[in-house]
Order: sequence, then C-alpha cells, then structure tokens
Amino acid sequence: MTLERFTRLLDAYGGRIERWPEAERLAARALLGRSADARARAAVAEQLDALLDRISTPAPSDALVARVLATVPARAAVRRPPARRWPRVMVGATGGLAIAASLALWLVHPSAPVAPLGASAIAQLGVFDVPTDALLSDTDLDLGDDAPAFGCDDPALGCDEPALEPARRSGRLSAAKEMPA
Amino acid sequence: MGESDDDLVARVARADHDACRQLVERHLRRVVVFSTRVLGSPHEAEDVAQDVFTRVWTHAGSWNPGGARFTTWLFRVALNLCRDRLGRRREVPLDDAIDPPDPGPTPAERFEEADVRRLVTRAVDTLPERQRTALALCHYQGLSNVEAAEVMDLSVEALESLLARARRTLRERLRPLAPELLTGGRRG
Repeated sequence: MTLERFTRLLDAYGGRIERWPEAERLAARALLGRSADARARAAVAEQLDALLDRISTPAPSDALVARVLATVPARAAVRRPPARRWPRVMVGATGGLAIAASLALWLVHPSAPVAPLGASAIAQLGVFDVPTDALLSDTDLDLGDDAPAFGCDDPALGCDEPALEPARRSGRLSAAKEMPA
Repeated sequence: MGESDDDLVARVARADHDACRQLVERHLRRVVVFSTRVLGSPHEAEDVAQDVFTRVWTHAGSWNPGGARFTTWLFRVALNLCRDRLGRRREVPLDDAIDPPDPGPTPAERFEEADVRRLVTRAVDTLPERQRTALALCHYQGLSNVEAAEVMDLSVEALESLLARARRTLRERLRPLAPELLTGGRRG
C-alpha cells in the first residue's frame, strides 16, 4: 500500500484501522509498521475520531420502547405472505377425482326403496304442471318479493347489514415486498 | 449468539410479540442514534424510530431473508423518513448555523466537557445531509463501506468521497478543540 492510498483511506474511514474495509487492513498495518509518516497521519486522524466519539446519545427511554411496542398490531393485522395457491392443473385433477368418486358411489349403492304413498298423502300433493311448482308450493318464497332471501345486503330493502369479509377485517394487504426508494 | 434478525422477522410476521420486543431491544437504539445524527433532533428521531418499527411490523410478512440484510433495510427506511422530514424543513444555511472559529487555537482541556460535546455535535449536525449521513452510518453505526453505500444507494467510491469531505470540514471546524487537526487538514 502506498502512502497516498493509505492517506485516502485515512481521510474516509479515520485513524482506527479496524474500521477500514477488511481487504485493506493487512496492508495498512504493514505500512504503519514501517512508515513514521503513516503513523503520524493516523494519529491526527485518531484525534478527530476521539472528538467525534464525544457525542453521546442517551439510550431510548422506557417510554419510547413502550410507544414502539404499542404499535405492534394484533395478530390478524400483520401482513402475511400470500397463501400458497394450488396450481390449476392440481385443482382440475382433484375436482375431477371428486366428481368421479361421487358418481361411482351413486352407481354402486342401490337407491333407498321408496315407500308407497298413502291415499291421503296423494290427495295433498295436488296437481303440478311443472316440477318446480312442487318446490315453490312447499316454501313461503314468493317470486314477487322485493327482498330475495339470499344474497341481499341492502338495508334499504329490509335485509340485514352484511358482515365484513374476514380478509377485509384483518386489513391484509398485498404481500409484495416494499423497499422504499 | 442470539437468534438472527431474519428469524426474528419471520416470527414477527406470525405476530409473535416476543420477537417484536427482541427486535426493538436490538435495534431501537441504533435507529434513534442514526436518526438523531441525520436530523439533529433527538425528539424527531424518536418519532422516526417509531415509524420505522411500524413499517417493520407491516412488512415483516413480505420480508425476503435471502435479499438485503435486515439492518441495511432498517437504516434505509430510517433515512427515507428522515429525508421526508428534512424536505419539509427549511434548511438553515450552513455558514449561519455554526459559530465562527475562534481566532486562535485553544487546547481542548480548557473547554468544559459540555462545551466540547456541544461544539462537536454542532459541527456534525451542520454538515451537508449526505456527508453527515455517511458519517453516521460508517463512524457512529460501524457499518461496512459496502453496506453504508447500499443504504445510501451510492457507489463505494462516492461514499468514500462524502466521508473524506465530511472529515475535512470537521477538521477545520474543530480546530479550536485540537489545533493538531489542522495539520491533518493542510496535508495533501
């Protein structure tokens, strides 16, 4: 290491060689060992280091520690990485298998015997033009109602307030890594 | 050797309060000291530190352990927050901010300790922002040149240039405390 290089590093990193870039330390110590000029310059730089070290910043107060810890969110509010999604092909294959299994069960198991209806029961059935009539007749559902029983979330129509979705409640955000510019 | 920062951050992502506390114990002081040097205001530095950790909690889930070091990220967030605040301030012109040097050199022993601290603090705090940031990272935080350059988004050469300019200015300003410093300032 030349004295010029040594001085340039001294100007940047100060007189304590242990604070220099690791790759330079060995050569710097060797130069210090053989050059009185290098030692004199290092001593001056160390004086500046010592003055800079006179600045002290007190340890964070307990109040600050408490303030910072008070910002720790509840479990649900911590941003999490996105849930691992199954590849499309896996979803398709799994769904197909489930359907096939259901079909097989339906074919293998004989249908439960249907008990013959009695005369009074037959009388209550009435006459139905289309199959859905039977379904409608068994419920109180009126197709003319303003407020359908399902999927209604408008209080103005007399429906209940919709419950918040869990994801929205938890405040989950995109998990994209943010490294501020 | 305690748990690594990366492991603690992974636990923070699972809302582990003990991990949050450990990260605070490990890094809060460093963030406060660094922000105090950059802002020159311990009070504002505490607010910045609080904001920094709020971001740690928020981003822990997306932290990539294989990427940058956690401390690099932490200081970078702190620096950005400090710069936001400095941008909202009206910068005090450098020449008006510091006392003119004493007419003659005076040994440091003749200054009270509090005076020395005040003069040094003022000399550092009134350096241009990038110079005092470089000094805060390398001298006060002990970051390697590579890591400090990464925090400041600079090349190592640019970082070294900032550090050298900072030290040159400080030698001039602190001459009343240590006349020998001028010898170092005049060489080369």
